Amino acid sequence: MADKTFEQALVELESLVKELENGEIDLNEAVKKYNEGMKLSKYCHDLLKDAEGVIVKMMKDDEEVDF
Amino acid sequence: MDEKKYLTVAALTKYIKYKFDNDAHLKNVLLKGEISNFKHHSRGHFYFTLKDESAQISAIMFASNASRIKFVPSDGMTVLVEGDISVFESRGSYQIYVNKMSEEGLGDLYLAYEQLKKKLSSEGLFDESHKIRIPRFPSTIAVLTSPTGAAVHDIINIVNRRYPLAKIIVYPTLVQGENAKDSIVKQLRLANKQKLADVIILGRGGGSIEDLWPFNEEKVAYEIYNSKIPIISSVGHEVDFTISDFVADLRAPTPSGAAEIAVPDQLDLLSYLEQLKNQSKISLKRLLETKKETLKNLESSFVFRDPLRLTENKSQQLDHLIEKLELLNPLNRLNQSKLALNVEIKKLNDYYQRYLLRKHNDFTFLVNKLELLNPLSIMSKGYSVAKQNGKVIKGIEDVAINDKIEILLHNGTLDAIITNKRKDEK
Repeated sequence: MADKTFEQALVELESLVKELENGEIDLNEAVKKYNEGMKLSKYCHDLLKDAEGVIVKMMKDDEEVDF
Repeated sequence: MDEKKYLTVAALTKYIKYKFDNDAHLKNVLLKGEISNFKHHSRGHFYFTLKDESAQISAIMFASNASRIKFVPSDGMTVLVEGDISVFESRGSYQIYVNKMSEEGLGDLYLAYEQLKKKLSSEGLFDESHKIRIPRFPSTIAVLTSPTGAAVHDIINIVNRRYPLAKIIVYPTLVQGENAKDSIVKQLRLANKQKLADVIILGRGGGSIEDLWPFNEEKVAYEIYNSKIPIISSVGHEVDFTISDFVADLRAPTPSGAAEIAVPDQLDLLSYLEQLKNQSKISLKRLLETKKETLKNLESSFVFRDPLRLTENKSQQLDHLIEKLELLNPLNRLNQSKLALNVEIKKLNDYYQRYLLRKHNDFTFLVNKLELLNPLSIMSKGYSVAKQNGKVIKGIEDVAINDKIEILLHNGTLDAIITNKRKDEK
């Protein structure tokens, strides 16, 4: 999971929730998906909480330099 | 040692003001110019700039005069004013104090703007169908603006506060003056070539219509239109609409607004995550309840209360199936086919018999007919055939008196001589 972007993890989480809501799912599968969803949610949460701030660069002569 | 006399700024300014106020040429000046930077102050005064191609002058019209004019002045309008020139001491600037103002017609820049807007609109540059969707979670944002302006800092602050996962690349861009349009075009091309960003914010803070003009340039409009990366345009203030705003995939009222549109807010995201978690919990709980309910229903089913009924039912079903199976037994089907075949064979036999009988009857009829025609059978009834030299005699002229002839009877031949000929009387 560690290499997932916020967007990838969130989109995955959204589709898990949709599957769970649909209800046409085996109970075992549902519990598995629920646990997976909780992990994804925590991962997204941590990404935001641990973010150290936006990286700002400037394009100078085709190269990124500190702004 | 010289004692230099130093003037105070106030004293100098007072002197300059005195010079202005006592110059007859600066009283009741009639002036024509285009309005820009128009501001209608809450106390009713108008503050604006009057300008033409090469110069500009600050202008003020106090509420007492301003309330008398019949039109709503706005940027780009060319107006005729009457007023006095004087100095505003606390700012050290001269300005025209307008007493009267009338409209002369729309300014050239405004006309140019309207014409270009019409042209580009008809070419489809503003079409909604061409607009690219702004990504939900941009990872890199290209900011095309002046690296020293307030706009870039506003954008950085807001992105940082809302979505610190993003990265910003500032593409230093001239956003006013003669070279601005080329700079904007160049940086848009570079950002598209490098493809580092998934959204572009193009813009600048507020300014006069001239300051914002690069964003009304045709080549800038085409470059925005051709960008493969979605562009959020944010030029000037809420009230300023530029051509760039219309061509861009999205228009934001200000650069800060653009940053807010470009990225989601982490607070919203955190509560959204919370909501997703809750939905999962509720869904799982509901699923469990449904399964429990199903189990309860099953347990209370007659199958468990009265298991015999299950077998009864089943045995009835079995009977039914056996019946069905019987029908489907291949032997049965073979027998059925045999029966059908027999019927066909019998049919064929009957037909053949009838055919034989008919043919037999036909044959007997023909044999009888043939019998009747047999000369021998006629002669047996007493008829005879007369011949001379093997040739049948058909009439009396075939023979002469004393000719020798043969008479054929059914059991032998008589030789005879013609003694007389008598022709039948008719």
